[in-house]
Amino acid sequence: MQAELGSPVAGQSTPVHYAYVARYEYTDVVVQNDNFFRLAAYADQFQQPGACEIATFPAGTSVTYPDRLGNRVDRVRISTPHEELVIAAVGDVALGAPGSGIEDVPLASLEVGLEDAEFLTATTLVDPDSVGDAARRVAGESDSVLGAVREIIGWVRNEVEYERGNTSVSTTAADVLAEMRGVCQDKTHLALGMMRSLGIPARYVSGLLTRQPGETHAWLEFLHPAAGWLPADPTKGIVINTGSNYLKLAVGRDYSEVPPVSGSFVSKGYGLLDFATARVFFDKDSIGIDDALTLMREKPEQAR
Amino acid sequence: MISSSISPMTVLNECVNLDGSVKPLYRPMMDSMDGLGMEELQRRWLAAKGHAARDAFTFFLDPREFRTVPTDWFPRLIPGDHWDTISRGVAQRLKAINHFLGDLYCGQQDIVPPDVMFSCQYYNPELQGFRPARDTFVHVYGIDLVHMGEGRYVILEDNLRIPSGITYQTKSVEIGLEVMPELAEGYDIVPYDIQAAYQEMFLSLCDTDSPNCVLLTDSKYGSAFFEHRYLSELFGITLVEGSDLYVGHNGRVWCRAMGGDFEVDLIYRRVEDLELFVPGLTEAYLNQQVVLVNAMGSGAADDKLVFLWVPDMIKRYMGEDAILEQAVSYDLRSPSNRQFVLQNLDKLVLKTRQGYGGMGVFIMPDLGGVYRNRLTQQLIEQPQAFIAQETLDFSRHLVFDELRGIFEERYVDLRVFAIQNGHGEVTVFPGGLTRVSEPASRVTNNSSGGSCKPSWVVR
Repeated sequence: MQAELGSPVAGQSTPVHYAYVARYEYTDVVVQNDNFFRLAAYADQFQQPGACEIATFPAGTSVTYPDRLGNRVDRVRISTPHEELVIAAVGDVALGAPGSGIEDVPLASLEVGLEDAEFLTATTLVDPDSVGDAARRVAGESDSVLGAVREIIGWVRNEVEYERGNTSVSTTAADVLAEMRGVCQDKTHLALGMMRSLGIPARYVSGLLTRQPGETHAWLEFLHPAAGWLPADPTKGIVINTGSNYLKLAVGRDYSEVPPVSGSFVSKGYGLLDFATARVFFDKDSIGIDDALTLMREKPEQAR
Repeated sequence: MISSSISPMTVLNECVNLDGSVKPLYRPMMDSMDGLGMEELQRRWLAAKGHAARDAFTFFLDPREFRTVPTDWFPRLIPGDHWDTISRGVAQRLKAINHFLGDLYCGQQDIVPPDVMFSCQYYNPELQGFRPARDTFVHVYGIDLVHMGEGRYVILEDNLRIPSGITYQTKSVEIGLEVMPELAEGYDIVPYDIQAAYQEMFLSLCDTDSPNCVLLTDSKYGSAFFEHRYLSELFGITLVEGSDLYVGHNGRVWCRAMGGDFEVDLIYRRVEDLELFVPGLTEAYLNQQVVLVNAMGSGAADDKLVFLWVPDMIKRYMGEDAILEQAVSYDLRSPSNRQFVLQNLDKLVLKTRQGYGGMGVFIMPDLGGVYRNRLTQQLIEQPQAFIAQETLDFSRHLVFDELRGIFEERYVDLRVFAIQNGHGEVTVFPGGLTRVSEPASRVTNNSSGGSCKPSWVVR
């Protein structure tokens, strides 16, 4: 579904480089580690990825493939025994964003084809039925797609308290509605569920905030019948107008389908994320794995 | 008369007609059973059980208990012409899958889509460019079939990682014939020799004439330990646990032994996570220091979703159509398939992509409401974790309840075992293992509570 209303793409694109690094610690030696990384920039109508390099320490053997939603997956398997694992990724990407002037359409006119039906139904962490009442209350009188999206995004941004430490990777949209607190991922799940319950196909985006170095970020995309997938961020309260502030890595029906790092390992111990950070550079000519490793220095001392 | 106690059975019963009369193939056997009489038959059944217990024909149940393998000693007969088709079909499929694995790791396979292939748990990136000894990946192959009647057999799934059960096939036949040889009167049973075939296969994969081979078991508390011990004794190879093996300074795999440690040339491994059992084994293997049976990475082709492309592999690599058909299956990555499956769920079987041993198999028509709802929810949430398959109404057989002295009707399937040696020659062992379902169930796996039955190919 590409734009038919003239190009919704804003005029300029901004070339940037980005770097990501993460370090995992294990409580016992790991003899085999099989990882799936979704750390390469996503290719779509607003964003053109260039090269992307991914390295692990210790090194492994990798295979790169597109998953069914078009995310680039790097699978790396490591058989060198290790008690810590460093993952570093760097890439180039030209960032664009949707322009203004996207026409609103009545909710009642939405016709969702078979291809997109999976973005309306329940997923592991997002059951639209569980947040349907809230969605109808919040959307209120809005009977248009953009109207409903704006109400939901504004409500989740303002009413769900941003709070760390009380939610996890398995927190569902219904949990977030009950507790009314969480981080970007939780807010995204709640907003996804609310949109889906109103019949608007919506999907999860994992990526980076280009001007806010640090963690990875989560936002969402909703399907506009003419303009295609458009971004909205229930943490920042932004609808469509994401500018060059957002760098998209992967899309999925919810977080469980597209964590930046997932996989399994063989060990008698368990693993812990020790540190992860990311940064986007607007002024660099080129980037290499060393630039990602340098970010390790940003780790707070006390956490060591 | 024993045969007169048989009640009318269903249309797909292999030994009895709708009116309860015995089918011609089974008449000599029924005559023999009538000749023995009910009391003697009950005595023989008990004797067979005792025999099985003395032979430790057992499987492991919980930390203190081994049980004899539940067996119904009334044999299943497979006509020679049926077997010819099965045997050719199994060999064709095994060769095609082996060829595919070679292409997957060392060539450019374009049969299975990349997102399916590379997301598969048992695909191993480390094996890219690695050629196993004699280019053979699958040495031991187990294939699950059901009989739809009139010699039409349909494949349900392939087992390429550590297919188990061949001992049940041979042992049930051996004990049955020993305890009631009368039942074989009037039949010409096709013989075979798994010992020679396996030994020849091991030898064909090694560069030395007298290789040191070991069978690596998960533990003596594993459910298949009887089989591990039995096969290692039969083949004359050492039975080892992970802690018996280590990788030496010379990069070779060594086995600890009383008389002095020895280098290992070949591991018939009955475990999956090799690196957990023997640290460093992957590296030794990739350096061609040891042969693994089956080769590392073979499991990539027994993913339930990859199954859908096996007919294409046969067409591509063998230049032939598949001899045996396989159950119609649905790839749930496709939106239209998802819709179809959700609308027809009560007619289908759901399987998790990476389940095995009867685990992760859900026959929707036979499932209670609560489970069905929960599964439907899971299917909507994670369609990619499943495949759907048509529910087949396959054949039944008779089991003899010796305590009550009656025959009952049960579903049966057939697991056929084949081996492939380093010269690309395939041996399919006649008969296979017939697995009998629990009453009112179509799941026939031993780990799921079913029993087994001796199977004879008769000419």
